[in-house]
Amino acid sequence: MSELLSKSEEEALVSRAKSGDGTAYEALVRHNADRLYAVVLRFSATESDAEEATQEAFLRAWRSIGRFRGDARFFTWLYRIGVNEAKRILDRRPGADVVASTEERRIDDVADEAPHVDVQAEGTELREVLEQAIRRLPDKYRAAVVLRDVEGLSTAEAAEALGLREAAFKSRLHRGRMALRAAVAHYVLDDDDPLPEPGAPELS
Amino acid sequence: MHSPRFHLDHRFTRGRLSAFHDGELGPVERRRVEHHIADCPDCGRAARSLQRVIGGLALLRRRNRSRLAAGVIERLRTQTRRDGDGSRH
Repeated sequence: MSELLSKSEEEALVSRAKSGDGTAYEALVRHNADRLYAVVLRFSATESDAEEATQEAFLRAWRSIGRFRGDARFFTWLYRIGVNEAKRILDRRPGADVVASTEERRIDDVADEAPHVDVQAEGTELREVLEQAIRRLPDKYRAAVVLRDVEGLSTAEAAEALGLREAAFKSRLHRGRMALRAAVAHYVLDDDDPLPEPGAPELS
Repeated sequence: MHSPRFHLDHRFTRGRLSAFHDGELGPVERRRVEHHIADCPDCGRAARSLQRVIGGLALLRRRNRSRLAAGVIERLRTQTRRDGDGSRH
């Protein structure tokens, strides 16, 4: 049950949850859990950390739902709590990085290799480098890309989920996508698209 | 040498590749981008690789995470019972 709630359906559930109705809050959990996890995962070192951060975020949000003013969507409030939880968990792990160290080495290695990988491995490798590249994006681009392109929300839905006007959302999405494209350039150019010669003037 | 018009179209296109991919440009803007992409190898390459990036991102989606919601709900119920407020559930 992860389809988007209409604003009025959500307001009704939030209102009941605020008055202590656990069943209403559980419905909010079911509707928001997948999307929250998808965002939080990209702020976490491991999947289990992301699950823990997601659970903690829902527990924390339940305890403080009285302070949710309802002028934004529930998810907008919730995902900020989730991202903070993920960062707290990350800080607790000495030396941990949101980008796994083995993957980091992989990405540095490929920069010196031929741009083309064998077709069989291409899908998997692109997924891996994209996962790592997302984690290197500035925070505000990360959530935009995850909700729009990973989770498949429409522009309007993703903008609303993040509490942004559409124009501001589109700008973040564009910058995030272009940064990802630059980061994984070796994986997404085909035989007709040789890399530009080093030092070749490029229009900007 | 490219014409000044080419440079204007180039800058115009670079800022709109994302919206172009999403089909969110109006007809005039879309034609301007299409025309430039056909003319400019750099922008053609950028548009194609952006498309592959966005296609790749869609593959990262993980489905069937209903266990996660169930786990959260279990913890909520446990915590509520522990808090001695059985009336909520």
